[in-house]
Amino acid sequence: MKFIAVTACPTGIAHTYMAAESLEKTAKELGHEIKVETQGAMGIENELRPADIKGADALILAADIAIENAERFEGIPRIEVPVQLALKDPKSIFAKVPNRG
Amino acid sequence: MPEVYEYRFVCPLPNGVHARPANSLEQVVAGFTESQVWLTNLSNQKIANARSILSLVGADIKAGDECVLKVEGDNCGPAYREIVRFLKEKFPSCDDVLPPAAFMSEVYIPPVLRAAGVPMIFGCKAVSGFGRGSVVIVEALKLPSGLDPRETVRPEQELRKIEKAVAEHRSDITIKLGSGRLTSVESKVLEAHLSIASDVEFLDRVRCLIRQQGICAGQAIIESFAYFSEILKAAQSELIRERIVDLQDVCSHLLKKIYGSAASDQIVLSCPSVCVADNLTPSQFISMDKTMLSGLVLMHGGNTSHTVILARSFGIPTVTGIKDATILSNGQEVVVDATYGIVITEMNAQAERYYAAEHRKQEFQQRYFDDFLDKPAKTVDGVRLEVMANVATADEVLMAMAGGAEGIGLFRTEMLFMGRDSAPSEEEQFNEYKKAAEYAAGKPVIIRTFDIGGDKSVSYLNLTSEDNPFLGYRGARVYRDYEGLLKNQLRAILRASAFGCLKIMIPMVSCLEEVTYVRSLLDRIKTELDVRSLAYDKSISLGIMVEVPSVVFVIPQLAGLVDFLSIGTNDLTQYFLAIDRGNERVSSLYQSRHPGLLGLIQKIVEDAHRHKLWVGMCGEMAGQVDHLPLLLGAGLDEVSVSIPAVAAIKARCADYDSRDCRTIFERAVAAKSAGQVDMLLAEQQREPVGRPVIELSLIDLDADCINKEEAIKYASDMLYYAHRTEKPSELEQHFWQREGVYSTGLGYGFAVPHCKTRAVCAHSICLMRLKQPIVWKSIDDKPVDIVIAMTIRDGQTAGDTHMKIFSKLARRIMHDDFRGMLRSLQDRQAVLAYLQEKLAL
Repeated sequence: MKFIAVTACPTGIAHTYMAAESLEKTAKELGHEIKVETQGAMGIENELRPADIKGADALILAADIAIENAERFEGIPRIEVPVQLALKDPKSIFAKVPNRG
Repeated sequence: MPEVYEYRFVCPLPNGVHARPANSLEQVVAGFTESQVWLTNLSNQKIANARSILSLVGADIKAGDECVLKVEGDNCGPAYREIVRFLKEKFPSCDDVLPPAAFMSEVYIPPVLRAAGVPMIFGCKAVSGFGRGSVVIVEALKLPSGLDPRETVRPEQELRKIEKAVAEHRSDITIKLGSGRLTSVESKVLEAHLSIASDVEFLDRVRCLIRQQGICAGQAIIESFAYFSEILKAAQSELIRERIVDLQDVCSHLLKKIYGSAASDQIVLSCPSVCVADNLTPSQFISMDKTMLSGLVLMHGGNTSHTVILARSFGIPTVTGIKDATILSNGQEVVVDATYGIVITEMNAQAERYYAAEHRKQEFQQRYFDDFLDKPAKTVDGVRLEVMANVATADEVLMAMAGGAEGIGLFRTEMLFMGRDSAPSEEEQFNEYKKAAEYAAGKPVIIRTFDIGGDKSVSYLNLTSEDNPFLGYRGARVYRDYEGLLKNQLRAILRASAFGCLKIMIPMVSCLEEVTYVRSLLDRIKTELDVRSLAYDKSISLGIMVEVPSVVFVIPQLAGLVDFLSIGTNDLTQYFLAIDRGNERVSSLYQSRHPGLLGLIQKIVEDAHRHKLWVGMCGEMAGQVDHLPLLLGAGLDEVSVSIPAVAAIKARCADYDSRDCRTIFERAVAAKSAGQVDMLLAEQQREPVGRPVIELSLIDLDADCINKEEAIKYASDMLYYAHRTEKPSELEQHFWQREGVYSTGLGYGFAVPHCKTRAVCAHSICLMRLKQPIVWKSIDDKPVDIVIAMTIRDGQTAGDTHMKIFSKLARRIMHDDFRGMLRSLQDRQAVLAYLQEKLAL
């Protein structure tokens, strides 16, 4: 499957990036494609472009705060989880059934 | 026929029967002089005389306690009905809601100490620092020294003394109550005092002691106080225990009425001690051996009381406003931690570890400051700021010199005049000033002529009390009326000026005439000394304190009359902002960083320099390290601060560029609020260029921490030792704020506490391998043995290349091999090299 993801945590120093790394690593293990945008202390990095969004099967939102530019993802099926789940049990995230966006 | 009536009821008061409700009940009962009225608390079988507040309070009646009212006497029916009506209708609502004990919940306790679970009592921070010693309780109630309580006592005479003192004290309170200036709570407290002062049981006991034991009035008061305070101490309600203070207050007033303020002021300390007192007088403080004084615990006494100012000068950790100091007893070992406003009444191993760490930090800081002791304070661009000290005695001059002071910017002479029955002689003063001049060894000593009045009263001057003493008869305003006193002082200073570099400063000047008057007096004394062929410094400088806003606008006119100015910010601030610094209701408006006040300071310095006048600052504002950029920016020639602050200010000067400070100061003068000035001050602390995010000193592979609290403190302290934070405690709080969102325990034995804060001067990462694993509340519930603390300097993150290191590190931590290496590498160099390689530093 083709995933896109956004990670964001309260301070944007550690968990945003740890979660991103964890999602990328796990997707690879499970044979999925993924592109993860981080919204941390450095602002938006690895930004999801319209082309990325259009081609995605599902969006993973691993965020403890409201993310920026959320309107980009309207209509995309989504899996919303706390950031910590991406560290604790990333595989379970990919097993979830996405909600209609 | 005597009648007896009984009435059962349940105490409806949420705080129990403390002094105020007891007072209300007592007043109702007092209307029926023929009857005897008793109140029995069935829950403890204590029986109280309802005519005595102390007796009622002593019955320890709490909310919900069942009680029996008993009224006895001839025709006591009406009394009984009236009292019952009161109990039913008014009693339940005669207790106001008390002002909340805000300081209890707002107080910040370092997490390590909180986790240690040591018992502590809370107050307000007055002079920061910590110290340990045995408690020495300074009794508030003392007979004048040399008075034998049993010698030649004529009971009738002693009884008359009591009646007279009680009557006078009652009338004092009544006048205060009638002044219409009190809050309702203050009035209630005074009403309670009034009743205590005429409490039947209390007065009976005092009279009884005088008659039966033949002791003097004062001793009888002290013994009665001891008796009733024991009863009150036994009460379970804290509110009732607090009434001991009221009783003590009344008793000490009575003693003063009888004996004047002649009680002995000498306090002898024989081992490291923590002095506990209701209120300590400056002379009591001076009498103590400061090398034995580890801390002060005062029940009263605000930040600006003179004893507190003295304590600051000596660097004695001081906590004020302690309400429950009565639980402390003589000889008990306590720690006073005035940095947080607490007194720890019993230490344990964890708290010992905390203070050992704090002690190391203090020593480290001292070593750092020591480098600056003998150096003149200079900014990066070579601009000088003279850093001098404020003192009140010649002995302090010696301490100031040892502490790195470049002179004495303010020698307060009031201390010589206060706490005694007559003014000090010229000779006594001469000796003190001569000693100061000699101790300063050629460095300048600015002696301020006596500033009496306002909050500093002196009995032998017979100054009457005023409604508004700070705007009244004080400072230079009293000089013409006490010319003899001033002449003595000026003569003493002039004569002592032959032994060093003395300068004279006039306090509280509001117009030129006050200066010309002192100047002409000085000239006359010089001529007189010339005639007597006595040596003195013929070019002795004369200056004034700038405290009254009006003089700010006559600096050009002052130019020919004086040689220097010193800004006294404490009074200048309160006069300029119209804020009584002692009034808690408006004290939050007493802002040293008010842009208007900074503008005023700007004008003072500019006008002074335009007219070639040297200008310094000697108020509390000068001593706060955080203000330094403003003081440097204003272009002051000198600051005079408390002795312990001298080295810190000197060290900090070296961190600043005066040109940057000038910009900040100009922006601060133009700011909209004190809050905005705070922001400016926080922003200006720039990141030192080229500081690596991690370095050897930020790696510890053998960290000794027994819990998460210690680990976070340890990381904060590491950053302090590496000169990346000056406020490790604030940094620690920021880590904990983040932990409060959710724990940063990551699993795999790793924890990554982090924060974004202005408390660090540079982005930093510190890595600790712990000697023993600790509980952190991790995702996998496993203990943590590796802590990687990440701190980002707030305010400069956008587009910052350093930030990439943090995200790289965070991503690496998710990989087993990276974690494995951090756990297994042999030494710090290897860890640093590995991190540099992996994070491409």
